[in-house]
Amino acid sequence: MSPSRGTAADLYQQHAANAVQLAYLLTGNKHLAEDLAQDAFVRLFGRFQDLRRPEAFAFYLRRTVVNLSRDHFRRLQRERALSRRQRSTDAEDDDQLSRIDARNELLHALQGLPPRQRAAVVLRYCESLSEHETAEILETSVGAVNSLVSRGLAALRRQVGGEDRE
Amino acid sequence: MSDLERELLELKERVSESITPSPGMAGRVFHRARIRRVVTGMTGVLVAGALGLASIAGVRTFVAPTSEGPVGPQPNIESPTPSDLNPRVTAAIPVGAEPRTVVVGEGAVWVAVLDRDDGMENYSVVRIDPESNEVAARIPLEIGVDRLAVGFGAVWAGGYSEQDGAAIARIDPQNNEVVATIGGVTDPEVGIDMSGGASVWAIAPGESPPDSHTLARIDPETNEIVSTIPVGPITDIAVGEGAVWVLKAHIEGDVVGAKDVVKVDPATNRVVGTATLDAHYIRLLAGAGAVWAPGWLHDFADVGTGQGDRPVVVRIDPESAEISQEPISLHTTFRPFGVGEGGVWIISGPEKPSGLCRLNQLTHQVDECVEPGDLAEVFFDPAVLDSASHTLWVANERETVTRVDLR
Repeated sequence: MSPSRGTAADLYQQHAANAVQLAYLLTGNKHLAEDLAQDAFVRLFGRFQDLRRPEAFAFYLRRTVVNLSRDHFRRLQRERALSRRQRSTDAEDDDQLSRIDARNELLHALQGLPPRQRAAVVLRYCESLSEHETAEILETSVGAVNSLVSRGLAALRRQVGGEDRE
Repeated sequence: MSDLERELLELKERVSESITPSPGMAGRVFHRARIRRVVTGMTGVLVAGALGLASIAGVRTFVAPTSEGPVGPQPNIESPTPSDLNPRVTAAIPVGAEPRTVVVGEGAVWVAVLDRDDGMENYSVVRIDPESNEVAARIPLEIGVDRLAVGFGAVWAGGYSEQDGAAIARIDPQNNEVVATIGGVTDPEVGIDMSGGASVWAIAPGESPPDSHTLARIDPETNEIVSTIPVGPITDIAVGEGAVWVLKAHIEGDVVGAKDVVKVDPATNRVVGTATLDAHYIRLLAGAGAVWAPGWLHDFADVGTGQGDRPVVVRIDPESAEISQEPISLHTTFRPFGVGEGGVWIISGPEKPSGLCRLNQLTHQVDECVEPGDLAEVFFDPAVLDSASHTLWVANERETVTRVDLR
């Protein structure tokens, strides 16, 4: 099964905003979020006939966005190491983040989590997915998801300073 | 629900109100998806077509995908001669973690793997026995490995560690242990120079600014850096065709601009030639009578969005260190990973590379392709050719290394 333009357009219409927003929560950068969401759609449309459950497009899209985000940060880590000059770019990214949502301490704190913890917290509490759904997307066990979420929330509490957030 | 959990939910609601796809995103998605579908249906021949090399008599004719697709040479491409190969997947070997990069040598296949354990990242090198196609050893490493090389009786694993920065670990294949760690360098390439000497070449990132990066030469006898050659910000190294080749970036402000391919004479450790590339090039490979630099040429203003990014390859004459011709447009990615078995082997695919193809060095056409499943991140060189055993070894996305027998 390969999506017709109509089908693909419908899928895009239905899921594009969610994909960009998920990528934004994972990266904190609007332009990067759109690039990642765009990549995710292109990959999924190209592999549509290989999807075991084409009806579960949203699931595959979420998983692809999470994986692309992870790959992005992995590449970035290496490029940063090669070019110290990247540090000034990092600072610009931070500035951009500040401009986008200056009041949002929590969004900043999320970006400080390790990628997998961040993805688990975002999927569970921002995307309101169940433990099982989150585990499916992260390709891990429910127990591992609970562990990631628990540590992620603890780190967030430390960063945003809230025993009152218990 | 705790306060924090409620705040996370509210965060999503605020993001939903303020973050929406830009009006142009749909157009870019469908433009790229259309190119991908067309290219996927035109196995391999497209690469040869785009290369614009000599063709021979045959029956199949290349047709450009669409009038809106990538532009460039559109030669009449015809079918290749019958191939001498019979590539097929013969084994899928679970390695228990994400494989990233793979090399062959010292009687084994070596795979750098990343094990994600509840947010912790642990790196190791897995040794596969090509006789049994089974994992024979697992060697834990302190550094996040990006590149592997084999030579001089050792496996060289280059990467970065949180504490120590760039480093190369030397693994002894006799006992599967790390026997030395060389600090300050990474991205090892093994090569034998024209004067008969032997060296491991590597990138020494140096301190800020990146102009201080150097090409480092390591003596495999002593594991010491014996010379450093100032080049500038290095993004890749290739050894072959009588020289060491460096892909060097021009950095203006914070923008990475054009890149140079720099030729270093290993007999004198001096730069003896430079070719300037006016595009974003990512990789170098030396072999089959040329130095190959694949990358992306940006035609339009929306650089980086996919629309207007044109995959190209440049061939550089190894004697003169000059570009042989204008950048050649491709209709697919072109990431060369090996030379031998009658051609240049490339990872091919428009978006998610999955095909390994041979560009036949006699007919100058792509005449063999095999699809071993989704490849691991292409950035880390997930495929290797072993001419001695007539095999390809591929790091796959799903904790598996695939073996492809070519004959």
